[in-house]
Amino acid sequence: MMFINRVVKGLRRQWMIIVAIADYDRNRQAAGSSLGSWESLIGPLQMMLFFIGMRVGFSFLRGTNKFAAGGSTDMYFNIVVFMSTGFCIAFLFRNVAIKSLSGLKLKAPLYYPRIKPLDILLALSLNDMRALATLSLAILGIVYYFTWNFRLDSPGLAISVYLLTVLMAIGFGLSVVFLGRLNKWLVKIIKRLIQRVIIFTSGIFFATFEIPAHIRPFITWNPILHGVELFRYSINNEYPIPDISLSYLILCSILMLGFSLILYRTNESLLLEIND
Amino acid sequence: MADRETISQKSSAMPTSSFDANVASRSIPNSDVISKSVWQERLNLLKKPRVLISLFLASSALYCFVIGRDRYISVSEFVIQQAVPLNTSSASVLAGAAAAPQVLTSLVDGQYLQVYLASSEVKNRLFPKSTSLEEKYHKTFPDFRTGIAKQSSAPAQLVFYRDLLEVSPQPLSGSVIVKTVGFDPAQAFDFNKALLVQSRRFVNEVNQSINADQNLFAQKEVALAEKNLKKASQALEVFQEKFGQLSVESEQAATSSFISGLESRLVDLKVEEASLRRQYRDPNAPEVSFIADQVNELEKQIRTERQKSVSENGSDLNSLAIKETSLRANVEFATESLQSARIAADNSRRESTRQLKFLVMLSQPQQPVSPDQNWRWQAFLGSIGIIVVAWGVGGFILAAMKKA
Repeated sequence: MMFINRVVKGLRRQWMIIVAIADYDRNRQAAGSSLGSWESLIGPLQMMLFFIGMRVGFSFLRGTNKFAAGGSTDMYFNIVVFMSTGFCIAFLFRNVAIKSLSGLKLKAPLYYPRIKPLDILLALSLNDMRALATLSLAILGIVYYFTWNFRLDSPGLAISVYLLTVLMAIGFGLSVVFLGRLNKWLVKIIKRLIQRVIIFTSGIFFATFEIPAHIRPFITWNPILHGVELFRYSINNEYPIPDISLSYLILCSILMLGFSLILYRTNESLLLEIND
Repeated sequence: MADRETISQKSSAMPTSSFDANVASRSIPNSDVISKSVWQERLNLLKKPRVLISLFLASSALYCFVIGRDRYISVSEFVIQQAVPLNTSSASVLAGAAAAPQVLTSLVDGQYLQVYLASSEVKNRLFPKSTSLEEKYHKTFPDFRTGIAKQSSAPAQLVFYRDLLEVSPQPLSGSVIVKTVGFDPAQAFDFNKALLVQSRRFVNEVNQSINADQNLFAQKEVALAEKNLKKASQALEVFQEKFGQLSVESEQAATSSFISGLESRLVDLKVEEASLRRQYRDPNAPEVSFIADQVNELEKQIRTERQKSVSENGSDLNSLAIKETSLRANVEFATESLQSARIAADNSRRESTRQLKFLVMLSQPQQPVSPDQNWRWQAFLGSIGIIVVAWGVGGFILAAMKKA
């Protein structure tokens, strides 16, 4: 009982540290921006609107379906909901990974030995998660207000997928921190990979069922696509998700997080030296 | 280390200890005052967000895993197939004659079914009395949330009925998946079977009623074609009675050959007249005059015959021939119209009774053997989601507003 009590207290203390770092980082960012704390919301929103514009623009150029910009996905989702669900999952992953690659520093003199690089990563992930969750909820609310058609068929699946993506992003971010220490070119390659390949194969712009069956294996390797598609499925259970599986997402998340924690446990000093 | 001490001091600063300290500092407290302050302390404890969240999660877990009634799910899958080639039948039960692939046809029909099966019409067919749904799905102890209350309104019953079924057309395969929920295995299974019967009825009755309507129209067309044929035949009959049974065309041919015979005789006479004029010096010689008179008479006769065959006063064979052709064409057209109208009427009569579309069962409904656990986890994880989202989003917005 004493042991459990000690563990709970320790976890609580660690959680408070992470929240404090998250607050500190948010305040620091707010001080450096004209938009204040809303900066973390406006930035992704701008990019998302640009993506929606791209998708709608391509539909207009194609000329096949002028009034239904989402194409065949319009059967299941409003184009804005379709894009925002994809964006909020894929960009959560991207932001955490990019921040890890940029270095886990708070850009301020901190003299608390309790604050470890892992705490900084978790705090940064927490801020991104909160900002993107706020954005998703705001968009769903706006769409609901205008269409009066709100749907969330599997709330449990939705929250599970969201948290699994966060875990996977932390795992991936932690792993690339160590990879980034090996070679600066490697950092550049990983950054490009995240910015281009992962974003464009994550299903932000398309649905898996729209892709021909013989091409699907080239994109379904990407676990973020599974996260995005399962998140959409949790909103509308009629949405078809061929070749998408929750077990693959769980496996990738656990493996990535487990591998990164082992890596962190054995090489923590390396990061501490660099940070100091 | 200083940090750790501060935090541990904070965490250990429980309200009970402060209460004990206060109590100890007092001399002999009044028992009412003590009990009041105890309750106040307890209420203050309840006001803490951590306690509220724990209570919320505990009650959610209690409902989801203990109180909540078992739900059984029965699933069936089918595809709607046409029995006739696509180019001779409509693309869907309600669409026109545009050709479409089978998958798309089944998908479109599945989408119509999705709306139809969730309609109040089907609900009334399956549960004709308003009490039958209430009796079957009534609320039971301890779960008073699930089920339908007695004397519920019609819209409330319809909403509850819609919650019991899920019809999902699959765009990739064209199949339709029907899921039904029941509070016991037999309920879910029987409901699924009843929905399949309704689906079959919908797919075929709609087709048959369309063809029955078409049959009525075709029969009207047959009657009209018969009337037209009768009229055209009568007109031809009157014409033939007036001008005899002989054919105008053969008459015209006979007149033409008669005139050409006269013309050939005229040519011969003209040749003979010319040779006589060379033989005799006097052009008025009786032999020459005789032939010349014959030529003149023959020319007059030919002119008269020609005028007689085309003039209104004579037989007017040209106009008679045109009129007769037109009358015959009318009769032929009316005959063909009648024939095609009769074929269409016969087809629609047959189609109105024949089954055009079939529900091909891919997976028959099975009686569930164990309750579905999915809804329990969905609901509980949803409760956690509410807290995570409320904390994440609420905290973010509050902090941003404070900073702003």
